[in-house]
Amino acid sequence: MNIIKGLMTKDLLQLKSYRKSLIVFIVLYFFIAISQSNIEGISAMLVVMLTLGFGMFSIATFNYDESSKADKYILTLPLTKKEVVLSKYAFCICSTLIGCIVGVILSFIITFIITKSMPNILDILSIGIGAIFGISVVEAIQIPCIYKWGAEKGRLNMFILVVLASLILGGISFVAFDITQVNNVISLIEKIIPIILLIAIFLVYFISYKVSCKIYSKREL
Amino acid sequence: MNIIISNSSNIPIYEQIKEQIKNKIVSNELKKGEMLPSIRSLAKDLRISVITTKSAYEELEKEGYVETVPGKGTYVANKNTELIREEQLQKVEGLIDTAVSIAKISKISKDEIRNMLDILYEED
Amino acid sequence: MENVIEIKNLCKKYSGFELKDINLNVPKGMIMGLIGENGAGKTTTIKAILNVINSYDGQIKVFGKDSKIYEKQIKEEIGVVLDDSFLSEYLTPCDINKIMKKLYKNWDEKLYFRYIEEFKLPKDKISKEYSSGMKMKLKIATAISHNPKLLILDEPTAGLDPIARNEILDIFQDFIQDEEHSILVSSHITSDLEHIADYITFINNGEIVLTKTRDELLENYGIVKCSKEEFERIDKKDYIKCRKNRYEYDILVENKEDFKIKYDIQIIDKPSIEDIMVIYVKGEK
Repeated sequence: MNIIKGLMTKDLLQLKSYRKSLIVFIVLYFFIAISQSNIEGISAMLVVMLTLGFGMFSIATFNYDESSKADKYILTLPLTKKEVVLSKYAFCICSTLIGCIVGVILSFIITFIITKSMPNILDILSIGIGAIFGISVVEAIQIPCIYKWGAEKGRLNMFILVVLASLILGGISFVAFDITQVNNVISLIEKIIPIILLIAIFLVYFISYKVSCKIYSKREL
Repeated sequence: MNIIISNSSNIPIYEQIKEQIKNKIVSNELKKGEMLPSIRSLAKDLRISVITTKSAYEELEKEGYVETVPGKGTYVANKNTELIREEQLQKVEGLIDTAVSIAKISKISKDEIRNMLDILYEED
Repeated sequence: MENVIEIKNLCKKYSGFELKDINLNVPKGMIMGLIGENGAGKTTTIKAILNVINSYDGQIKVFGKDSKIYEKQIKEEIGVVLDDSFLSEYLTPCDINKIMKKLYKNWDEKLYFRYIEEFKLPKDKISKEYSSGMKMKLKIATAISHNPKLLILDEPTAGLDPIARNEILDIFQDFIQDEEHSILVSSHITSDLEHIADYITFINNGEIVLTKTRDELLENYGIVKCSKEEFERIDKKDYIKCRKNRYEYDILVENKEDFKIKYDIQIIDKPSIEDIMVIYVKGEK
């Protein structure tokens, strides 16, 4: 456990230089959101964008590792390849979750500022889960790709994936809008979808982790 | 204590160390029972390998100049000073012997050699 | 003598390069220098010891234990410095401390900062802004702050100026003051190892050419300089290799004193490790 924490600390500290741009990113979105009028659309957008942003941001740790060729050195420390892979997934998942939570909190604040009333928690949460599902698919494809071809070549795939992901995300948030807007009509689906998505997220990460472990254990460094 | 190592010399480094420590023992600069630096610290200070200082100490021990107490260190042995003197004397005799035989072949007189000896002794 | 590393019949094939039957012992308390051209197989050997490469034939024991089975346990007691790989340069020494104290059970924070201070490294500056000598010192400080018994370094002096190289060698000799400590260090800058290494192993083209104590190599080996005519009367078994130049022949011999007596040739140079390396690689038999 300590090993995983140590490796995650490394990833976090490496991204320190991104701290400023991250805050700028959040503040920017906050103001864009605040200047809009469609409050529900804004909340959804904020949650989706922050989840997506933080998810992508965590992938950047691979670039840092690659530019310093850290992998080889890390494997000389008392740890296993599995732990290295696990720490990456843990970091990406944590980062995505944090992005989602920040998004949820901000959309709460915005809704409160504009409408002076509390938004529907369930609505925002289900949008969040939808967004997490979207990014989890991206990460789940991206991470094994990086382990297979390296972060540089993986970047090309990343662009393709981002385009794909935003289409999926757009679709999902569009669906989520519909549900919230038509509100009481399909409240049953509204309750079920997040649960299905949660299971899907878990499965997607799990399969991806297994694939990454397999690829990484065979990789020559 | 000075130990001066030359890397360009034809004499192996361990031999240089050995000879210099030996000279210091013979001249009583290093006294009986005095502790020598450890092989590792000597190696570090002279910037040479541990194995080099180790073989120098081993040779000194073989010849009875030093004693190693395991786990403690290396000390100047209680070697009989008379015995050392005897050894040195024998060495000198051997060298003079060679000098004399060369002198005889080349017809160099006893007086000439004596003169040479006097001059050499005055130097330093 | 007890060995901290024992390599038996190590073989590893890549496309275009092969490590052929490497046998190597690193005795406890000693500095073993691994020399050879770039691409001779030094790094691959080191990677095999550290189990960073995937699969290889042969057996490697570290501290008497199988390096594959006891990998984690062994790595707790090894400090590693690699030429081209370290933590990100966007980390400061303070960051590295935070990371390493979670990764090594025996990480000694106080010792680490003592080294950082001793090596005059700014604690809160990212290492990207360091000079290459400072970067190397940071790597070494990181490698020795969990009190390892064995230090494995790949090309630690490459690209450093003479002053920095000298300081690095000082650190090695300090480390080795404890007779439980050993070092395996690879370098193609042989003059660095000439003075402080106790043993020298020479790898060429994926094979070990020789393993000798420093003294055997530098005090006994000799380079005979002679004419073509003189060379022709030398028995093939009395020399290792010969490099034929236009005006003279350079012959590498294992024992210069014996050779002197047998052939009555007066010009025999004391070789440097570099000389030996060059004649081995370029010379013929």
